Amino acid sequence: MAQLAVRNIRKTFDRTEVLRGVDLEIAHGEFISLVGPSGCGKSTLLRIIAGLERQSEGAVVIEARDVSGVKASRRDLAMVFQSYALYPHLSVFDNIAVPLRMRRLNAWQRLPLAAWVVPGTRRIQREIRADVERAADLLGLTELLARRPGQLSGGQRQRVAVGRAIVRQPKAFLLDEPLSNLDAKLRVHMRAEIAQLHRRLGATFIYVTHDQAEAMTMSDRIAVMMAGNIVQVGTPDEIYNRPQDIRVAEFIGSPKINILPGRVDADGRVRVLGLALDQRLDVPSGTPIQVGIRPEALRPATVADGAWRGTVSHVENLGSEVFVHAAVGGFDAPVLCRLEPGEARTLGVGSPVTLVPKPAMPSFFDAEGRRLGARPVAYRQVVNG
Amino acid sequence: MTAFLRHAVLLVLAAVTLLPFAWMISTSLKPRSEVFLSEIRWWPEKLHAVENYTAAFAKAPLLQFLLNGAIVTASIFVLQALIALPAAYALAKLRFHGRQTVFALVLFCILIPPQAIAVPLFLLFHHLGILDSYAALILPFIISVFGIFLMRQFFLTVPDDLIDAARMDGISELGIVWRVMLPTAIPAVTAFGIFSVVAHWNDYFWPLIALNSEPLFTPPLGVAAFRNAEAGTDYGPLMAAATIIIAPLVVAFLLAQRRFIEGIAFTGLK
Repeated sequence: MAQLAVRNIRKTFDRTEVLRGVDLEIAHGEFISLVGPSGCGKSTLLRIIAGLERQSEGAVVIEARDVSGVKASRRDLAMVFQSYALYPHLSVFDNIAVPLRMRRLNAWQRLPLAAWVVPGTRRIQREIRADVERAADLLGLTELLARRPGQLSGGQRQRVAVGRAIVRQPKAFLLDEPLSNLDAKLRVHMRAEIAQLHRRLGATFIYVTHDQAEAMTMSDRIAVMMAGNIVQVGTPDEIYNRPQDIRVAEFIGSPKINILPGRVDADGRVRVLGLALDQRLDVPSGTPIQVGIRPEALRPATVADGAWRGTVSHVENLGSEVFVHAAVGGFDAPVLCRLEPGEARTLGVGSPVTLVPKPAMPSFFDAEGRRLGARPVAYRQVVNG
Repeated sequence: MTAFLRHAVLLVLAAVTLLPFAWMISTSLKPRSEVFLSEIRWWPEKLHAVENYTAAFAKAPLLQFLLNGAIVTASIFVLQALIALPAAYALAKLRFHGRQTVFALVLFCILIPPQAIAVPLFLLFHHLGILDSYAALILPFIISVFGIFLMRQFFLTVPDDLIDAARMDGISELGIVWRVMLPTAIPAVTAFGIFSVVAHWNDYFWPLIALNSEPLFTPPLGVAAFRNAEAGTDYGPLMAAATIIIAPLVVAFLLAQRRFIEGIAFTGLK
């Protein structure tokens, strides 16, 4: 059963509809990413789950309980913010201790000098100290407990923000673009650390990001959001290889997928830029379609026959791989192809190149961008025979 | 060259502003015979400081006046902060219907001069029977519209994430004001404190209207009364009394100035 679910969530700000009926079920212990371009409503959805924003319609359900009217602090969720949002006047220790103090100590016990007056305060304070130290130890913050946030580096602040979230062992963690203020190198490092933390805690993580690489590398499942809707939910592999919508195909994957104009022949075969592919579609012949081919699904052909002919317009050499941009006849945008360094050695700007799709299945979309189911040509022949 | 010019102009302006102040201190050190000389003499030939200052303390309850001033200004500032901080938080960070209208009304209140409402206030306090008391000196000023405005402008710069984080941590809305907003707003509160304390320490107009009994007199009122009743034309002790009354403000400003300028490190927010 789902631990956390959102049902038909709608949100309107001043007559602008930001969320248009979002449904999502999240299992216990799952790492799910909400990914999409800026303005797609992913952060708003997270804030509604957190209870920081009130939905206009729909319900948030946590462990079979509708929490729609419940205050953020009573939902037992923890959140890590993009700006970390550490209390600037408190030490690292106090920053991490705040959520515990607010929960375990009553108003009298939180007063200064309460430890000498209100019974039981000292014992609770000792427990809080132990819990904070355990969280700090887990994140490698033990040396920094006495510092103020202003004296920490970006990565350290990020870790303190995570520490403040994990210290009270909430039902789920909500992370709102937690890595986007870090430099590229640190981001890759923290990506691994957060994934590891998820495995170690075994808790539910809901992770909002606009960076598809973060979503792909860390998630059990990805929910791709576009214009206030979840367009597709699936494993990173499904999202990457079987995008249900052309916008998903274009958003996921770097460099971007090639979208080429195609047409269906009389026998059902797909023809793209004059080249017949090995796939059939059950749509009327002559239907214009869009074909998505990943850059790594293209390779240089040995014979010019049955291949796209073009000229190299740009080469990006990353050392481990080379991206070749080729101008192919009859198509405006450059076609992008990912090659091994060895394959691209002879290719320079202006040199002729021939490209063919690898046998891997391309994605086909109709004129509105919905996925079309295709079958390999051979399979059809076997059935017919 | 321009830097030199700029400093020259500033120095001249500072000198002009400080001149009466320096003359007050100088006079407070002079015997009666040297006060009205035709020549300008900054340092008296015959130092009369001890006599003047003892006379000032002997002839008027100066310590009582200073204590009154401290009680009144401190109470006003604390109450102003108690009211202005939550109000500013609501105006800056909470979303509610009519927020803009309320804020416009707050701004409008800045335009009302205190003299205009002095008579209605006097009548009101007369009916309440609290004229001639500390309450009469404090109550009219506990809602500082300027304070609300200043703190609101400052709170606008505090990131929303910090407030949301506090809500997730389980801090109540009023708790956010005192535990999160106030500590980050210390520079702004200090600035407001300087304005508030200076204005009410030096206020002469309202205490003159509201008070009758000398034991409640605030420092400016005390000095004025001192001049009329005790010293007459004896300017040495009078200037000594004025110096004593200004001294706490000057000391307080010098102490707060560093705090005022250095501010608090905000780098932790981003």
